[in-house]
Amino acid sequence: MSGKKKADLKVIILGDYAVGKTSLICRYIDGKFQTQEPTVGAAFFLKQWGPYNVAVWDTAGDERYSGLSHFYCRSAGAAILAFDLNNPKTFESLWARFGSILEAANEDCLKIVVGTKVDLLEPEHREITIEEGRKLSRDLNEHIDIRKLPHDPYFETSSLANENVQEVFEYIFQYCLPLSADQKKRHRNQQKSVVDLLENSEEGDKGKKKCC
Amino acid sequence: MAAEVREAEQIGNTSDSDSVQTELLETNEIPGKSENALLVATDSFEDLNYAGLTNGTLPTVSTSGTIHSLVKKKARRASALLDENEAAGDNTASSDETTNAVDQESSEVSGEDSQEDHLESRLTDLSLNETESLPEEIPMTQLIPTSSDIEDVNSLEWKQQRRHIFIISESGKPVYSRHGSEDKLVTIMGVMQALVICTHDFQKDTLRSIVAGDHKFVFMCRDHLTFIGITRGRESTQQMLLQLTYMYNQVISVLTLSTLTRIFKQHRNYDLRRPLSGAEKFFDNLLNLMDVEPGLLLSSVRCLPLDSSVRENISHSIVQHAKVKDLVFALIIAQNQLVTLVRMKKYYIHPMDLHLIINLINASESFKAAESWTPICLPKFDACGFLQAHVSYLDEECHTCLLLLSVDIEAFYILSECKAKIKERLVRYNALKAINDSLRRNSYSIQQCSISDLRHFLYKSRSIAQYTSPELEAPYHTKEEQQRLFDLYHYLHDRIHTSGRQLKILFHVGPYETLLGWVTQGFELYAVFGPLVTKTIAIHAVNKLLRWIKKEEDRLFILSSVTF
Repeated sequence: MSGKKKADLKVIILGDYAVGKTSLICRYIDGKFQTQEPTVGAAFFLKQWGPYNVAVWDTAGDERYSGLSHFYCRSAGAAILAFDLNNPKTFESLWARFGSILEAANEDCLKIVVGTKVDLLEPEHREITIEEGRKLSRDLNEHIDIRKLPHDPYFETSSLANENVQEVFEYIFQYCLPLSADQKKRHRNQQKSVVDLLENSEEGDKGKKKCC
Repeated sequence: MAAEVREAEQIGNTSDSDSVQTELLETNEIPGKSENALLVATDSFEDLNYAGLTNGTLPTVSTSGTIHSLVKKKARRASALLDENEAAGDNTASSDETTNAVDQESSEVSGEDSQEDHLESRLTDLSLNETESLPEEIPMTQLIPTSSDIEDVNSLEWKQQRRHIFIISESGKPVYSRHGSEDKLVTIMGVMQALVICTHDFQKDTLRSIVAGDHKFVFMCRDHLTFIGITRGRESTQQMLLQLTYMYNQVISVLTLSTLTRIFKQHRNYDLRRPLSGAEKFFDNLLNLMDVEPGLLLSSVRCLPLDSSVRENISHSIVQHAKVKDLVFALIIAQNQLVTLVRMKKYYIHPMDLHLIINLINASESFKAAESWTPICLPKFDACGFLQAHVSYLDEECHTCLLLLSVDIEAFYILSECKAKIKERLVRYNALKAINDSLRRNSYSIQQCSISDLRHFLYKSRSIAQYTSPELEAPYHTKEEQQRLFDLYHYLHDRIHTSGRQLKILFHVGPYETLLGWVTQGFELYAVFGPLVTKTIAIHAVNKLLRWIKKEEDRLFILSSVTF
């Protein structure tokens, strides 16, 4: 099922404790939001992207697990660097903590800076500007030809409101494992049908509750 | 409460109990005995002893360097393991030294007064009441907790906790508190550390316990950390010490002993909460587990009742599909019960380590989402290095958990394949269904033993370090009654093991139930009867019970150990 050879791309997500890494991944993989328990060690997910298998490693933010980082960073094709938009400290950590950790990843590893919990952000209290985020994302990707990318690898997401989550992953996959327009369409349809079914069933549940 | 209890005790004490014992024991065969044990045999008495606590080393397993030797064994794939061993060209050597040094130090201390029963200073002194003042002495206004001081020492809720556990660093910094936030408890923690240090520096002695009113304070110092347990329950000093030892093991399990010693060697006043952040739930959960799981008190593990053929099939599936280099232990755990354990030849697992593994799974929901890969240190196996655990649930309902423990940090993908194969085979042979059926049947009812007036029991086979007990049924179906039953077991266990002389048999008549505790070379049995049972009836009943357990032993215990 999950053999190393079979995965065509390895994506890892890094970031401080409780910035919402697992929520982001669960929103993408399972299509739903639920409060998450803190991750222990590192967790492994497998995801289909067209004909490709993508291995996604969700990691624990606690410092005590840094011994594992070499293991999951090695040969990573893309890294999501997540921070909490409401907590500037977590943004600083991206530089301070994770820059060195990522040296073990592929040389051409794409680094995407993702601000989470945008739904909690009050614009007047914003401490990290969009421009700062973009700048960091450009600085981190000095080694790759940034012109090939549609825009700076910077996103602001909300796993709760399902905002920009799909876009993060499709951005990565389209860069690392480009699909033809036709393949992409088929993939979208697959995704869509999954989401539709889920929404239907959720509605069904609600209906039942009302009956009772 | 204790004063109200009418006690009528008859004690077969040590001198003549051998003959008493042979007369009493009607069967020659000890249920659940096995020469081929899969766990390190334990004796809760030794584990409870100060000497046992501080020496820690076991005859079968060396405390340190096990992982190192395992790694060395494989063809010098240097630096492969973990940064522990990586950075440890000099480190393993030095940490070995420190372990020994610490051991020596502490055994010296315990040697000093192992003859006397431990030092229990009964302080009804006023100075202590400052920190543990009685609620009625406080003016009413202070009794109502406000939101700001709800976690303060002055809050009633905090004071009324049955048990407190604190961990403090040598320099007096708070590391952990079970109730309340450490930040708000800095002062009281400072006072406690001061008590420890004053006793040590001025009296050249070790503070072990204080009794103040109905509270008991128990202190344990190990490796730059002070562990303090405070209880107004019926746990004895030594039982509290055992709980503190579990807490110590949990710290080591998260950090490893080498990291812990290194941290404090470099910065004496380091804030240990940083490397431990996120691990608080393991401490909390472990303490909760101690309140409901007698296995921790007995240093033994409960197995999920399964037909031996099914269990054999399961272990066989693991051996067949997980024959992977560097895999040390493979085990399946279902709702805190051991289903099977396969081990590398020559390596055993200690029940205390197994409890930490159970706690790891029990405390975190995150394993239910996906296959996980996490480091875990098993202090009795090797306190100085991490094993890597591949953790995954085998069924949709997330009842049955497979753990594969390896010394190779790169082994994840191989183990993931093993897991898929094992799962497939267990599904094909209906083994997962058998496990789920057993879980649904809820162990067994006391009625199955068909012994009237026997309400509940704990039976531990010493050679295999496993125990069995029936479901908690009426009258022990409420939380309060279960707590009371647990208190009774604590009392019985304490009276038998740690009253200065070890008893073999204890018959105790209380107002609500009669207790019989019986310890032999082969087993420990704690039985609870209705209040009107006489000694003769109880002994007859217990013999009948032993025959029943003997009959069921293949189902209740894992009697033969399987190796790769």
